[in-house]
Amino acid sequence: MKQLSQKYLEYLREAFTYLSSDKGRIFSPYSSIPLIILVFTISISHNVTTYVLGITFTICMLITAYSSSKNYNRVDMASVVKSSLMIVLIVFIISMPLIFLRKFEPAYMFITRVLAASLTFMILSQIIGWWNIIRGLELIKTPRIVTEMIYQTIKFIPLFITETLKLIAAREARILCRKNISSIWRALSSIVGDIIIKSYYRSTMFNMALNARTLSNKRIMIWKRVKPTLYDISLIIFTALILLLEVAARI
Amino acid sequence: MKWVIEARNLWFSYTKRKNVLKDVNIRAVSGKITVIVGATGSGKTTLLFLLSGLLEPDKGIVYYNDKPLREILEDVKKHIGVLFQDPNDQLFNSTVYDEIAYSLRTLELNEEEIEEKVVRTARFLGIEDILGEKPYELSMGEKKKVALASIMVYDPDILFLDEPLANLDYNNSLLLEEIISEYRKLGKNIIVSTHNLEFALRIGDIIYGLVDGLVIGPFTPLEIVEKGFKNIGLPEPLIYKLCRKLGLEPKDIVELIRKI
Repeated sequence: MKQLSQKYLEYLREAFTYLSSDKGRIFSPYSSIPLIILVFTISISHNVTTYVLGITFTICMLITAYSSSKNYNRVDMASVVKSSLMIVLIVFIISMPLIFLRKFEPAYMFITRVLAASLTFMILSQIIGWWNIIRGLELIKTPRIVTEMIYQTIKFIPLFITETLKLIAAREARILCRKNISSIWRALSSIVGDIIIKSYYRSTMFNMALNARTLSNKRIMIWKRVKPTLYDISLIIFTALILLLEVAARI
Repeated sequence: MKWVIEARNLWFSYTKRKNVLKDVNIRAVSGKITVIVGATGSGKTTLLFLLSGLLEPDKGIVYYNDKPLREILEDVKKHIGVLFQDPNDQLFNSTVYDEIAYSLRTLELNEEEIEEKVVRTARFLGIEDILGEKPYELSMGEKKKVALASIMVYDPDILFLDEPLANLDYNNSLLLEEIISEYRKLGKNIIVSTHNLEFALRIGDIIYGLVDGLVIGPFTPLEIVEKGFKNIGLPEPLIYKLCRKLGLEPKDIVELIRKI
């Protein structure tokens, strides 16, 4: 049970770390809005071609980003594969009732749609970088307080999970009797109170670290200096094509 | 740029029951290393956070070049670097590269410039091989170096170092002391908090003692050795005891400690 909960938390931490990456080498903040439109279009689409195109484009971008970056700034392919497998697993689990009820057509559409949308978002957001996505939201005049909250929440979750893992390990180390399920449960169930207190401390320190290391208060001005890259333009064009395809299919 | 940091009559408490700092007065100037020594729980970290503007005092004012810090904080932030005692509290990005690049990104530099600075700093500290790693997977010493790199990368004029030697092995401690000395030569204003009196004597130009929230000092290292260590609430360092046994004079003791 302990290992299962720890493994789950570790995977969750990895997923959020992966999502909150700031690599952003080939894209600029201008990619943020096309990304949202693209994922939204795929997620409401009933057209398999849209899904296939979305995934194909994403994989092309992934390969380009991987090959054009240096090793310290490279997309972590192992994380991509792991997260993709997790998504596939979760989607299959959720669609089980449809499969058992022998509703294969809706199940097929559900699985392909969710897979296409979530994989597109997950992989492209990694390549674009969380920092660029947040700045992109600022470009369309999203209130700073909102973008800051999104940024900090995504950054804070891995820290919080790390803290929880430490608490679990500390409790585990102090179980002196034979480790059966009931003793582990007794030790771990009392962790909730500690987590609340620790999360308060951790969030206070996180806020201080952010304050200490955020040197400028004018992040919103970034768009004046940045020019769209070739990859931004290709994403914008691709999103427009997908949008047109979807509109044409609906008409 | 030269900076004079002054804390005047600072009071601070986390709860109503106990004041962590009581009427603290401190002065730190560029080109000197100011060390705050005190036992664990004496309020050193709190004092550093107040001086760097991360906490607000209950009473009293912190001045930077005679201007209240609260009024100019946003403008002077890029000149201030704070190294936390526990690097886990300071690191929050997904890779070491992002961690070092974070502050530069908030300064809106372009990515090429950021990359050049990040790689240069990482190379200097010997952490270029771990730039792609996740910070929470590193050893404590590596985390400390990453935290230090995240400050060094934007070259601040004022450095607050909270227990800088904590979690560092001998070689890395030496490296850090060298960096601190280099920064002093460059005329930076360095404020260090530590419980390690030997380290304080070795690097400090001005030393303040902090006992139960009260500041004692300023002293020069020689004054500390001459007057004894009891009034700053810390035991005599081993090297001091040895030197006394050998019959060395206070002046020679200070010289020896600083040379070592």
